[in-house]
Amino acid sequence: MQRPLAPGLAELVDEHYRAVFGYAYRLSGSVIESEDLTQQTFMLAQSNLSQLREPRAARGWLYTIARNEFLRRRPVPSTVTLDDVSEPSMPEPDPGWPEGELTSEQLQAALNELPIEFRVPVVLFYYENLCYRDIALQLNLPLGTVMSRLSRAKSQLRRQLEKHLLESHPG
Amino acid sequence: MDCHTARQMIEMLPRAAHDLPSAEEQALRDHLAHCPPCLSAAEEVGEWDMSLQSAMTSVPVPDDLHERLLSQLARSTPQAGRNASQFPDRTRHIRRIASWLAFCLVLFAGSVFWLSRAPRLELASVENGAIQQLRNRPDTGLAAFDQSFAAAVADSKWQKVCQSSPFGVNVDKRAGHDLAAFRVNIPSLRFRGWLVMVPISRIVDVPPSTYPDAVHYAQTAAWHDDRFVYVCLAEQGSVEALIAQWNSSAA
Repeated sequence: MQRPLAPGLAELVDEHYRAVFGYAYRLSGSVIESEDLTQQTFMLAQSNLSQLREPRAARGWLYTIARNEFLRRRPVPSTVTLDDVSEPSMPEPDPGWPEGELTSEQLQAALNELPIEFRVPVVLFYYENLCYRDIALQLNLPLGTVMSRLSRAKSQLRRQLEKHLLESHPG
Repeated sequence: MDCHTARQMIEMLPRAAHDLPSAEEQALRDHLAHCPPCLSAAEEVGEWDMSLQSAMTSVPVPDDLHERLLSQLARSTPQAGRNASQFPDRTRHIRRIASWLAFCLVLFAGSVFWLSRAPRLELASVENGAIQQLRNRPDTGLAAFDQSFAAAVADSKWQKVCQSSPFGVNVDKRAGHDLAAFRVNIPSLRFRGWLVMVPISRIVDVPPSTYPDAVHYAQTAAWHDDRFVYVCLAEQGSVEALIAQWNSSAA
C-alpha cells in the first residue's frame, strides 16, 4: 500500500539518488548491492529525516548513512593484512602515466582489488572529496593511520590502473 | 627538505596540503620551487588525482532506479499512530525496563572485558607514536621502560648498535608502556635513530617481512620475528640506506 512521502523526501531523492548510487557502487563494486544500499540509505533517511537540520549537508549525511550501512553488512576485518597492499618504495623513477582515458570499469576493477579498510578512505578522498583530516574524523581513525592507508592504497591503485591501461593500450 | 621526503609528501598536494603542518607545507613548496624533477612529479600526481577523481564520480545509474526508489519509499512510509498502538502500555513498560537491564548488563560485561585486556594496536599507531614521542627528544625527557614485557633484542647485529637501557612509550593512553625503544647509533653509516619493539600479540597488522625491507613514509621500517614486531625510526641518515647496508652484510 502506497502512502504519501514525508515532506522533503522526494526532493532529497531527486537531488541525490545518483550521487548516493555512485558512492555505493564505488564502495561495493556491485550494481545490485549498490541499488540495495541506495534504497536502504533513503529508507533510513526517511526514518531519521528530523536529524537533517541543514539541507546543504544532505549529501554528506546520505553518504555517511550509505557508508555505515555498507560497513555494517561487510565489517572491516579486525586484522588488517598488508600482503596485497605493499608499501610504496619511494622515491622511484616515475614511469609516466600511460596513454589512454581511464574508464569507470577499469577504476572499479582496481578498487575491487583493495581490501575494504583501504578502499573506503580512497572513496572518501576521491568520490566524497574529503581531506585527510575529515576522513580521519569520519572513520574515527588517527590522522596518521589515514595517511598511511591512503598512501598504500593510492600506490596499489596506481599500479593496478597502469597495468589495466597498458593492457588496453599496448605500446 | 630532501627529494626523498618531498616525493613522499607530494601526493598530498594540492588537495590535502592543509593537512600538513604549515611549516612542512612551506618546506615542501620551497623544495618544489627549486627542484624541477620533484615539481614534475608533483604535477603528474596532480594530473593523476584529477583523472582518478573524474573517473571515480562517473558512474552510470540504472534508468528506472529513481522510480523504484520512490515507489519503495512510498510503500514503507510509516503509518501514523501504528507504533503507538502496537503494544499496550504495560507491555511497553516491561520492554523498556528489560531493555535498560540488558543495556546495563552489556555495559558491565564490556567494561570488565575492556579493563581485563590491553587493546591491540595498528602498526601505523606504533609508528606514529614512536615518531611523535621519540624523534629528536633528549634522554632527559623520556621515561625508562617499565618492563611491562621482557624487551630483549634477539638479533646480534641490532644488539651491537642498540645503546643503553630502553625507554618506554605509551601509545594506547592506558597505564603502562606499550613500546620499548632503544637508541641506535651507527657512526659508520652516519645513522642515528631508534629501534622500537612491541610484542607481536599486541599488533593487529603484523608486517609481512621478517627482515627490515619495508619503508613507511621514508621515516620508518618495520618487520617481525617470532616474538616481537620491530620498527626502526631514523633521526639522522636514511632508513633505506641502513637497510641496504644491513641486507648486503647479511648476504
